[in-house]
Amino acid sequence: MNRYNHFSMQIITDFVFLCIVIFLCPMPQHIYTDSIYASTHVNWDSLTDNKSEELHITYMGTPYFPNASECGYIELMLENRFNIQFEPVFLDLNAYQQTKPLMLAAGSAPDVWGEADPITLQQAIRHNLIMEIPYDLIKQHAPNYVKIINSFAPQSWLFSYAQGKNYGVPTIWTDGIYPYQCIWRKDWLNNVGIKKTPETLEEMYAALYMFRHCDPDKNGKKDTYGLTTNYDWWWMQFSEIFGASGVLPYDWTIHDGKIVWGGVLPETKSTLKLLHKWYADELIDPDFIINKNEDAEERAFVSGRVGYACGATSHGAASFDNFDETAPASLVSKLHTLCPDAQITIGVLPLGPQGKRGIRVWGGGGNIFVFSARLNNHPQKILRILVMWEQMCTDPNLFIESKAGKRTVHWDYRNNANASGGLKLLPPYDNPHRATAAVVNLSLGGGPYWNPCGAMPIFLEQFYSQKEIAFNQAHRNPALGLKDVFLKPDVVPSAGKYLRVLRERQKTVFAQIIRGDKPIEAFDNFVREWYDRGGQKMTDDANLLYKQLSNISQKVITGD
Amino acid sequence: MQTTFSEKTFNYLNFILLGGIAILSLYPFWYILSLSFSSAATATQQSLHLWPKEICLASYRMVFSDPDMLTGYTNTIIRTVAGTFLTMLFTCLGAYPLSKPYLPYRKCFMLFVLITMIFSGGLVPIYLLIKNLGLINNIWVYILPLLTNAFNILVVKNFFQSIPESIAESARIDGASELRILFQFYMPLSKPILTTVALWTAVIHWNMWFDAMIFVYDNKLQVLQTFLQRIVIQGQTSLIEKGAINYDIAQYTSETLKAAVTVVTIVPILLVYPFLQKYFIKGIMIGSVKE
Amino acid sequence: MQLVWMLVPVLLFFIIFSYIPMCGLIIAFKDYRMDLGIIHSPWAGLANLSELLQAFEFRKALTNTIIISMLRLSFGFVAPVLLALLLNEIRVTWYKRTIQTIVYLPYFFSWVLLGGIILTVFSSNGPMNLVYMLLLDICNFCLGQINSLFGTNLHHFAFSPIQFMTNRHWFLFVLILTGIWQEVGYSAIIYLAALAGIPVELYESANVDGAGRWHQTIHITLPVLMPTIVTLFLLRLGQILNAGFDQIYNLYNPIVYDSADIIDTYVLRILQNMDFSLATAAGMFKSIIGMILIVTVNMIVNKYTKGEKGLW
Repeated sequence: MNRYNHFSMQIITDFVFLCIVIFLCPMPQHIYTDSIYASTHVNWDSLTDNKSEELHITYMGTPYFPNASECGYIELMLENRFNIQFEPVFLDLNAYQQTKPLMLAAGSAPDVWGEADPITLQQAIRHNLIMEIPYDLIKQHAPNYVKIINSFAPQSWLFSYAQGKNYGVPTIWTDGIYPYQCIWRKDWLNNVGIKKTPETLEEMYAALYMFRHCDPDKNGKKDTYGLTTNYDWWWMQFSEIFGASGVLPYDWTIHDGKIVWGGVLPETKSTLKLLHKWYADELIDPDFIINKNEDAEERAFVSGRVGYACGATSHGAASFDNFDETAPASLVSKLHTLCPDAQITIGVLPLGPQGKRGIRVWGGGGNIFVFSARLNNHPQKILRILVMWEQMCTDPNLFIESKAGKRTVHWDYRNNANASGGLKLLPPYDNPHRATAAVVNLSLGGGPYWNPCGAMPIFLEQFYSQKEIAFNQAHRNPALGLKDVFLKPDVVPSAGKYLRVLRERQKTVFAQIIRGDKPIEAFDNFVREWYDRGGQKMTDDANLLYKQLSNISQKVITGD
Repeated sequence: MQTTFSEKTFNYLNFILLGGIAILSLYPFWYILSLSFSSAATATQQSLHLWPKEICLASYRMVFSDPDMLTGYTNTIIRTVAGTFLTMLFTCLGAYPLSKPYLPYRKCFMLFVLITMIFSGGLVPIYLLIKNLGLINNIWVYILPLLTNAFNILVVKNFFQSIPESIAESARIDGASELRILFQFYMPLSKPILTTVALWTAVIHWNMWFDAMIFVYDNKLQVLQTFLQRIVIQGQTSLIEKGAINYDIAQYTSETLKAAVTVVTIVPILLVYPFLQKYFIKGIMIGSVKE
Repeated sequence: MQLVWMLVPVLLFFIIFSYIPMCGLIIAFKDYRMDLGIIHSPWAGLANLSELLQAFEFRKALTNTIIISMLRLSFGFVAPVLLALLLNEIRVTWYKRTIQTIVYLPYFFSWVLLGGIILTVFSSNGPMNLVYMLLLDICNFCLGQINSLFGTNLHHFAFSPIQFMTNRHWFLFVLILTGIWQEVGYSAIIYLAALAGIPVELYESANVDGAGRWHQTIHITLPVLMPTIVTLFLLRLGQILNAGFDQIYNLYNPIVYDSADIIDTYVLRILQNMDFSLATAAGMFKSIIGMILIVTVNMIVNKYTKGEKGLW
């Protein structure tokens, strides 16, 4: 009897608890009702912006200025000039990636923000979180800005394009068009008796073979390799080797008038075969697969493990800044600290058997700026911002002031009055903390916080040093850059569902083939698998998108 | 006390084995310490970094040149001290009744607590909850959600159960309330386990950055970990910053910076540990003295 | 009744910070739309769960998760108990204190940092391979001696570096080993706390009875530790599908994806696509498996200990 009582007691209490839980469930209802995104139609034609009205705008630019605070110099300058009261959100990169989706879900996203990932962007569009902005509207209020984008990276309109409508404003990233260049250890080449810096794949093979087997550093140990790569970065993975057969293995490219995935092409197979041979001949550092650090390749090069480097270094092996002997953090200086006799020579990208050479570049399109769907109540905010951007990219003074702050306070020319020697930040802003706290930055090619445009070609002479311009012309010819048809492969609508999974799969299979865990025939299986598991759908979508792209280009061309 | 030969052998072997384990455990700390004092060039070399080839303080200068560090330390210390104190209180309040077999509906309460350990709502509902409680950009967001958890309650409950009920009985006869019994008799008797839980909680608070990242945008409320992470990220991006002519930039790499940041973070907690440690060893110490 | 009142603040805490967000689990059964909010999103029934279970990657991730966490459970769970017992046997106090301080050190390093160290140590020309080479040299030397002594013709072992990080079996080994290494000292302190609670008189009377160390361990120490061991074991079962995200994420590489991709790394990819419904469904799946395990094992434990040692 006692036992029975106990049992029934338990059932009763269980029931009570269940009731409490069920009772509590409706309670969150008011907590969760955050459907603030009522979609109302905006009549753009009749919309005007009264310049004398002060607008309050919450704003989130690129997440590289986490320790900045409100009311910095640039913010106040812009607020005065455009009669805006900004409420900026400064996040660091991690917080940006993690918090932004939550802000969106909770309805507390800023009015304007920069969006870096096309998949997130498309998802947000699908969820009605982002305001539609007609292309013509942008062109009407920011004609020069649109012109520059169209001349530079018309594909970037696709990032914010969905169901025939435009949802964002692309930005310009000038540095994105310059391809990386490879560098060689000149002293190693001399030590193994090679006079000419290798220019073709065969010459490269010969040199790298000697690097592995003929003790190029003369230390009596067989501890050197030819090359390595950062395998984790799909966009830079052996990119110049694939480029020698003209393929981009992780991107969409045109093949016989159709869009295909580079990873399934026969040229990719032959390159994999070549890489396997190189691996079997020990040219490739066997640890290339576990390279994760962004400076893995640079580290291997500087520490004398490999004698050749190309893309997968923090700023590209052959970027101008890496050859600055006076800057102690440059590649050259680091190498000389560890090995005073080392010499570097800048090479050329290897030439393939079909006479092709090239390396992947991202192209000139940067992040997308988008507007929260809440702005349908205050669409004039959009106009004000567009006008601001238009002026920023046409007025050189405003351009540099919105990026680097005030001359003689935040920055100045290196030699007196002109840019021929480049720019420098003035103390105390030469300390990175102080610079980011004040939202000033001299990386003009990218899009810092307030200004969405990279250095436009017209501004280059004004703000870049002569030496750097000459260096880029000599060694980083934009014509050698191989681009995705859409600039970013994940722009394709179904990419959100399939691309990440298939890309990881591709990395695995390619690594297995290169290492010889699987024979080259595994590639054919991979191609079948790829098409079966969503690749076909993505390819179809990509071709549709390409048609739309040509429509957009048509519009862009006839519109101008 | 006589010890046999086999016991002696065992003692020696045990001595050596634990020493070996200790050396292996010490290595990463040593590696990080050595790396944090290395210059950029030597840190780039692939090696075990058993000692810094030349002492270079650039990474530390970089870390401490950040004016936000003080804010970070203050906020972290506040949350660690207050958070740990409140967690101890709540955990004991929860554990004591649950340790009593005569608590009505004990099994249900246990289940109620246990379920929270297995199921959690996911990020979006938690974010909405915090937002609607008004805890965004509020220092309480560091403390309230971590007030207690099922695991700590269970562990403390278990220890309470091993304390003889007779102690509580006699106190009850003297007219002590349950709360008084808990504070006056149970808590002092449970020092080892309470120290354990306090250490766990303090470490969690000290190292926690996720809540600060997601729920707090105000720089003045950020915690140490956030600033340290930023230093690392910034250190990476500004290594070859255009126009930055600050000489120190050349002297550290993202690796040495990370190392310095780690040292700066863990040294305070390492200093606290030996003081807590005596509670773990006490009981046995008496034993060894008597032997 | 006093006791129940004491519980009230704790219960309130759990209701607010655990049970209310738990209602958000319904988005696992919805086609969650951020513009509509959780309540107003359309129902999707079991579509998310079935999509999850049909995904090839998820099933593979599930298998891997189970394998890895089983290995972790069987080796990782025993290690702290052993360490605590061994530490308990050390009679030199300063030595014990030092060791104890040191072994918990790795716990304070994030896997980002430890990952870098581990990759260096296990790389193809790292110290682990140097040790391996040394061992082979010794073997070869012995073989050479044997060959010259007995005139046999035994082959020497040729050295080729062990690919610790890129061979799937070695990778699992490294994963489990470094996992233990990182948390063993830290997990051991709870056992040490329990050991500190053992009345000294027990050992004294055992000494008087002439029981050796081994006997004392078996008959006094272990039984005292048993409730703690059982509790921790049960709690760990509830977490069985958490196979160590941070560690794997920082150590794995494309070539071992097939055996190292776990549910959490899979969910990360879903979350990157902002697919909250699917991610929640995956999380819920994990929780349910954990609950089933914990309930079953608790029942078994209760049955064998007559309701004394189970969690409830």
